[in-house]
Parts: sequence; structure tokens; C-alpha cells
Amino acid sequence: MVKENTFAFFLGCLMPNRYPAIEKSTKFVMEKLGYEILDMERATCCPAPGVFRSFNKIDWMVAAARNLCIAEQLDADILTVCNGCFGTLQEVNKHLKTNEEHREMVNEKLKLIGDYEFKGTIDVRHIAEVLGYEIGPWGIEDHIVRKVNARAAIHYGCHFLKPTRIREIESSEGPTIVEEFVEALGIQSIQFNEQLTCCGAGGGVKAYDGNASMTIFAEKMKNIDDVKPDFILDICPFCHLQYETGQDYLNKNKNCNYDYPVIHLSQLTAYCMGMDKEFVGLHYQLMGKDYIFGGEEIRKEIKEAI
Amino acid sequence: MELRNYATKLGNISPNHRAVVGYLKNFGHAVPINEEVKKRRVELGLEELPPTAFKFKQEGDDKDLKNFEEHMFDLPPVKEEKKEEEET
Repeated sequence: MVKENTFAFFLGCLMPNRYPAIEKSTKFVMEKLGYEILDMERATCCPAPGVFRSFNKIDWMVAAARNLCIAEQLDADILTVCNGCFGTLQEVNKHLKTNEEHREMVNEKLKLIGDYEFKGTIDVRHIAEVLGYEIGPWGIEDHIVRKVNARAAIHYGCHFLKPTRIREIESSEGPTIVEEFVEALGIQSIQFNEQLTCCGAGGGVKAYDGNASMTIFAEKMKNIDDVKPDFILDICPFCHLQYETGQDYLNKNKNCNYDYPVIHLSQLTAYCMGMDKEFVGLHYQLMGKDYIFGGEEIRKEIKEAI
Repeated sequence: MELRNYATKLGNISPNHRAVVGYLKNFGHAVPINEEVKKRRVELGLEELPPTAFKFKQEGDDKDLKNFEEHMFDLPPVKEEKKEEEET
């Protein structure tokens, strides 16, 4: 039995190493909601499913299992804010819990890289699912001090919901979990063409062929620009990077003039729960540096107590 | 997936992807930290380095990443480019 209301916080790569404001925001949100957040010392890259699994599937599982073992030793479920990390860790965790042959093979190799043995005692959770289902729009109302009055283009990305037979969260064809949660924060979700397609970063594409990645992304941005949202809301630091650097690339190379702020669900939720805008970190980002959240203070007495 | 694993085993892996494997072995991350982000982390009230394997390497304890270097994602050497035939 894992510890209740406690998570082993899996950082991954892009959040701590490119967007630390998402890390700050996530800690703020989870601690305000009453969870204990534990460091996963010595963790590594998940490793990313699009690249490392395609090089060597067994080693991909071993490296993922090593991360899972660190959380098992903390006796806590893993919390991730990244779709790729979720994809790898949730999939390997589920697979090794049921596939004895692979579990033995992985545990044999784990002995070579340290004092690790996969036991299958924890689960892996994504923050969008924890906020959307465990806290829920009904539960977050009691914790927010302001609502943001804005229209957002919500980007789910790929690995949070797909493959659905493994994720078992909700349909990947018509998801509403994020829309329903952020509605409680004052956000109106704006639908756009091809909303549920990839941003063009994952699957090893961005690392392998930047031009192909930008071709996919340009189509995505055109569809978003058609509906003129106030900002783009994502649930994955890799998609976040793509929307940030991609807009910059299109402006410099394809005669575009995009400046849509890119905001992770953790950043938005932290702001609505009272975190100072300075820590939301938009001034560190490439796009929408000067964006000012509209909206209203709703519970001044709680804000004063923060 | 099996085909992609087999292609890698034969050395058919792009230089960019090969570099990502190098990052994992050297830094424990597919995307390593840089000086600018270290500064931002401190400004945000976070530790300069996240408590991942790289931080321990920086502090002189590199056993995790040494083990990765030795035992994980062993790639075949870079293939030499085929020389063009001088005459057909």
C-alpha cells in the first residue's frame, strides 16, 4: 500500500531543464491541495518513448524501471506533468506488472546498474488526470482565489490519452477532462480544426528532422490562429517547447507574426490558486511575455492568507 | 518497433538521435540543463540543479551515469559513408 496523498514527483527533462516555472507551479498547486511531494533523487530521463524505445526496447524498459524503482523505494505513486514521461512510465509499469518474462529480464539487467528490483507496487499518474478526476472542477472551486477570463486553445498532445487500451483515462477522440477542469478556472475552450493531432514534436521527429516537425506544426498553428485564442493551454512540456520555439521559427522563417502565450495546466492552476504571476514565468518564455491574465479576484480572504 | 530496433542494431541511426543517446549517458537527460536555466531556477526559488542523476555526478558521485554508459543503449559505431565508384 503506497502512502496516501503523497506523490514521488518525476521531473523528466524539459520541465526542470527548460521550463522550471512549470516545476514551481506544480509544487505550488499540489502542496496547496494538501499533497506531499517527494523528490526522486537520482532519477533520469523517463526515457522518451519516441526515441529510446525505437533504439532498444529492452533498455528503454530497464531505464524506465529504474525510475519506477526509485518511486517504489519512496512508497509513493509517481506524479508527472509530461505526456512523454507518462507514456513511458505508465506503459512500462503496467507491462512489467503483468509480463513475468520481461519483468525477470528487466530485473536481471537492473542489477548491473544499481540496487534496483522492480516490484510493481506503485502507479503512475499525470497531473491532468489528478486535477481533472481526483480534485475535479467541483473540488478546485474551494481552492482558487481568482478566475481567468480567457479563451484558450487546448492541446492534449498524444501520450496522455493514447493508446487508450493502456491509458484507460477517457476517449482520445473526444476528450473533455481538461475542458471541464479549466472551465472552473474561468477558461472557455475554443475548438479548432485537427485539435487532437500531434504538435509535430514527438515520436523522435523534432530531434531527427526539424523541417518535417515544423511542417506539421505550421498546419497546427494555422488552425489555432483561425480561432484567435487568448493563449494555448497544454499539459506537456515537450508540446510546450514546440509551441514556444515553433512560433518563433515560423515568425523568423515563414513570414508569420504569432505571439500566442503558451501556458501549461500547472501554471494556469497555480495562478488561479494565488501564485504570483512572476513565478508563473511567462517573462522567461519566447511568446506572450507581456500577456496579462484577465479575470477577477474571487476570494480575497484566502489570498491574504497565502 | 522491432524493425526500428533491428535497424539501430545494424547502425542505421541518425546522427541527431545518436547525440540524444550521448546526452542520456552524460547528463541523465535527453535535454541537458544550461546556465540560463540554472539562473532561472534560483530566481524561482528552486535548487540550481534538479535532484536527478546529473546533480549527483556534479557532486562527484557518478556511479549512476557510469553504469548507464557501460550497460545501456550500446550503439554500433558510426558507419563509414560509401565511396562513390570512380567509373561505372
